[in-house]
Parts: sequence; C-alpha cells; structure tokens
Amino acid sequence: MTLLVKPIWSVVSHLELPALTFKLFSLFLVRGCLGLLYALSSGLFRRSFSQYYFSKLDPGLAACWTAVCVSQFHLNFYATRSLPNTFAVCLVLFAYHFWFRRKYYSCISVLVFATVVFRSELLVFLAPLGLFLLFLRLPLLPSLLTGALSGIASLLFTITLDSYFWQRWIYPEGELLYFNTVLNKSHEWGTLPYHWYFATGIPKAIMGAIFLIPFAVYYERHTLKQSLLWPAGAFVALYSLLPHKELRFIFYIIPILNMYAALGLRHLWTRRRRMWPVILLATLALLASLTASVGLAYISSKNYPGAAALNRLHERADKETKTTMKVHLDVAACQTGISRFLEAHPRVQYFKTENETDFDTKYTHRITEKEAAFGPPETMQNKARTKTLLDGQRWQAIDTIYGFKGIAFTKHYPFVQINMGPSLYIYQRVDSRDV
Amino acid sequence: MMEKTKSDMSTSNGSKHRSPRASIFDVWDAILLVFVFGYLAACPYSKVEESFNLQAMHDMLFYGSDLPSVRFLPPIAPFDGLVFLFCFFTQCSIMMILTPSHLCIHLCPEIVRFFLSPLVMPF
Repeated sequence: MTLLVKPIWSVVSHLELPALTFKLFSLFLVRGCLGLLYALSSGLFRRSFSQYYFSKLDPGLAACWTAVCVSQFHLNFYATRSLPNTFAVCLVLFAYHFWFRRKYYSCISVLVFATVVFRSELLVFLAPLGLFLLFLRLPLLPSLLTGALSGIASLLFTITLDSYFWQRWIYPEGELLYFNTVLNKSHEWGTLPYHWYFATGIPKAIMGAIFLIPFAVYYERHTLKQSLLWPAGAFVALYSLLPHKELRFIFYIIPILNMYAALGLRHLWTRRRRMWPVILLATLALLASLTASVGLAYISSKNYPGAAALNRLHERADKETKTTMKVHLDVAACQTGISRFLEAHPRVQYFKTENETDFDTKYTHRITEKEAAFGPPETMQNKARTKTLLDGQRWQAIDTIYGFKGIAFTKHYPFVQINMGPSLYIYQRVDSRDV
Repeated sequence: MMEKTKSDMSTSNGSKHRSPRASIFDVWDAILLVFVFGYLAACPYSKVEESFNLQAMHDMLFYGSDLPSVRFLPPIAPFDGLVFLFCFFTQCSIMMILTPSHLCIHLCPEIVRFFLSPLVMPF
C-alpha cells in the first residue's frame, strides 16, 4: 500500500504545496485507500472461488473475472466513495471468501459484523444465507451461537467507538434503522415498482456480462445446489419489498453474478472450438459495456456543479489578492460536490448556514441555485455587461455553472447529446466590489 | 452433506494444487484498481449521501485526537466510527513511513497532529 502511495507522495511533497492542493491530495488519498481495500478484497474473493471451482488458481478465470469487472461501471465507480455500502461490500467480499474456503462460521461472523456496524439491510441477506446453511446441514446451535456472539461483540465495538466520537451514547446504524423502518421515512426519497431490481437494476449493474450467467449455470449445474445464487436471489426478492430502491442497496450480490459471468466465459473458453461465436459475442458485449462505462463516467464528471463553482470562486480569489471573501454556500451547492476537502483557500471563508436570511451584511459572495429575477446571467463572453441582480439589486451574478441535465439521442455522430443547463450561480454583493 | 464437502476439500487441497504464486495483490487486481482509480480521477468530488462519512474522514484527518471537542455536525445521520478508524490508521501509517523532508511551512501543524494523534488516541 505504501509502495503505491510513495511515488505520488514524494512528487507532491517536493512541490510548494498550498493548503488547497494538500487537501485535495488528502481527498484522493482517502478515497484511493478505499478503492485499494475494494481491489484487495475482490482479489481475495477471486482467488477463493478459483480454488473452489477449479481447485487451483486459474489464470484464465482471473482474466475472465477481470474482464467482466472492468467492463462494468457502478461497482467500480462507487468503490472509492465513502458510503457505508462500499465498506459493507468489502466485508461481504471477505465473507464470500470464507464461504468458498468452507469456513462457514467465519463467514457468518463477518456478515454479522457488517450488518451490525455498517448496513442493517444486510440482515435481509443474512437470513436467507443462514437458512441456506441449515439446508446444507450446518449444525444449528453452533452457528446460532457464532452469530449471536459476533453480533454482541460488534455491537459493543460500534457503540463504544461511536459514543466516544459523538460524546453521547449512540448506535448509529440503529438510529438509521429506526429512521427508516419505524418512522418509515425512506419512501420520501422516491419509490419504484417491485420488479425494478430484477428488470432494471441488475442489468444496469452487470451490463453486457449478464448473458454469460446462464452458461455458467448450465456448465456448473453439478454445484448449483450449493450455489450462492440462491441466497442472493432471495435477498433481492425480499429487498424488492421495500418501495425505495437504489442500485447501491444490492451491490452485495453483484460480485456473485460477476463470478458466474466469469465462470461462464471461462467454460466457454475451454469449449472454444465449438463455442467461438458465443465468445466473440461476449467480447463485443464486454467492449460495448466498457464504452458505456466510460461514457457514464464522463457524464458523471459533469454532474458536480457545486465543486466546479467553488473552483471558479477560488480562481477569482487568486486574482483578487487584497480582499477576503466571505462566501455562503446553499444546500444545492453543498449537495453537488462541495466537501470540507475543498474549503481550504487562505483568503476565503466558508459559511453553510441553512435558512439564512441576513445575506446582505454577512457575506460578500454567494453560490446558490437561486435564479435572479431577470433570468440567468449572460455567458462568459459578455460578462462585463451583465446586469442580472438578485435580492433587491444588491447581488450581481458574476458566473454561471453549467451542470448535467439529461441526455438525448441524435441522428448524427456521436448519436448521443449531453444536455447541460445552468445549475448554480455565483453572486457578488455589489457594494463589496469597492471595499 | 457438510462432512462430505469437507472431506472433498481435504482431498483436493491435500494434493497440493495450490499455486505457489498466490499473493494478496496480483496483476489482475492491479488492472481492476487502475479502472477504479480512473473513475476516481474523473469524479473526485462527492454527492450528498457520501458526504457524511467524507466530512467525518476530513475531521479525523485534520483534527485528529481533539476530535470530540471540535465536532459540530448536527446528528442527522450518524456515521460510523469504524470508517474513521480505517481512514485514520491508513493515513497515519503512510505519513509515518513517508516523512517528507521539505514541506512548506503551513503544513507543519497538520503533520505534527498526524504524529501526535496516535499517542493520544485511546485505541
């Protein structure tokens, strides 16, 4: 891990680093470590199932697995994002690793830990898995005992740790569970029909590799009885009952489906004399998925107007060296890319007060989604002639940030058009110009 | 059934099929990591759901040991302390090993905090 970071760090430390760059670098470091954790646990999982199905480390299977994983977008994209789901995915990969090493008690412990500490929704996965283990004749009492003991240990662990950080007695995952189930507020975030995960969610996440899964199921039919597909399917079926659906809720089963896709490709490869058209088709599908993934990444990079606006403001602050900016960031800006890792300019002070009313005396700049009464400000070229004012002529728009609004299909190359629209505006208080 | 699979395993593993090149990080992981980092480079910023943990990580990094005294986030969505610790220890170990010799002056307090915080931390 250090070897990986060392060259970057040594280069960076020799530059004359302003605090801003240092913070951005820390952001990359933090998220990079998370990505590394994901890659490590996914490698562990790959080696384990390779041992399980081929009783050796099979390079061909490794190549198939990597091809399948790399062609997809969502899991790789979220692997560096600091969501509890990401941490839970890494732990679940560990659990699968224990499963394929046939260390079922360790598997239970890790899953229970992930459930208690990170995502209580994993309980929905744990329950079918437990039943499945009983079906595979794992003795009931020791497994229940393992689950209970690791549950208590994890609970003590998380409560001690979080109560220290928060300075009060707290169990974060429990509070979230209470919020989501007892108060049942999750549907406020939007609802989707029951079949969404099966019909849209999984194909979206697996992309072109999805048609390889039936081949694996066919060629591995002798191991199907003990397959992890059963608890995974039960998990999705149960979780679909919750009306609020997001793809990241079912990330835990994607490695299993990927594993089946990789197995399918590997088995096709051993029968390549007869099955070469299918392999060709699979290659094309994976390449198409990869292209789509790169496109999605490009679109996502346009989807952080908050961060873009703050960077623009910092550029301005670099030019105007005499004044100190006091900038107010509204909720829309904070939700689209701004984090404390970006708030480090020495001559800018940041405020995020919600429901602020007294803008006129406290701040010199505002980043807000609020449009001025006379429509959006002019474009960069004739910015000097901009007359767009907000809140009783005291705030003048100095910049507009365009964000992603949607895609449309066109008839000519490249057939997809990305629509951008004004998302955020930077305003400056008129009288602060002369101060 | 379970017994049977166990004995299966012992026979298959007993014949030493295990490749000697089994390492915890190999070229396939590296390829995956390149793609993961590619997405990170394309979209380094964060959206609303992940920002709770990210802010927590930030505070952990930059305030370190005196964290409980400086926390002022409203407890809307409590984050996990373990996220903190994961981040904290990886960063600390990196920082410890790679002590940079020439750092510009205003970074020093932060570096000092990095070195001091493990001593003060109760864990």
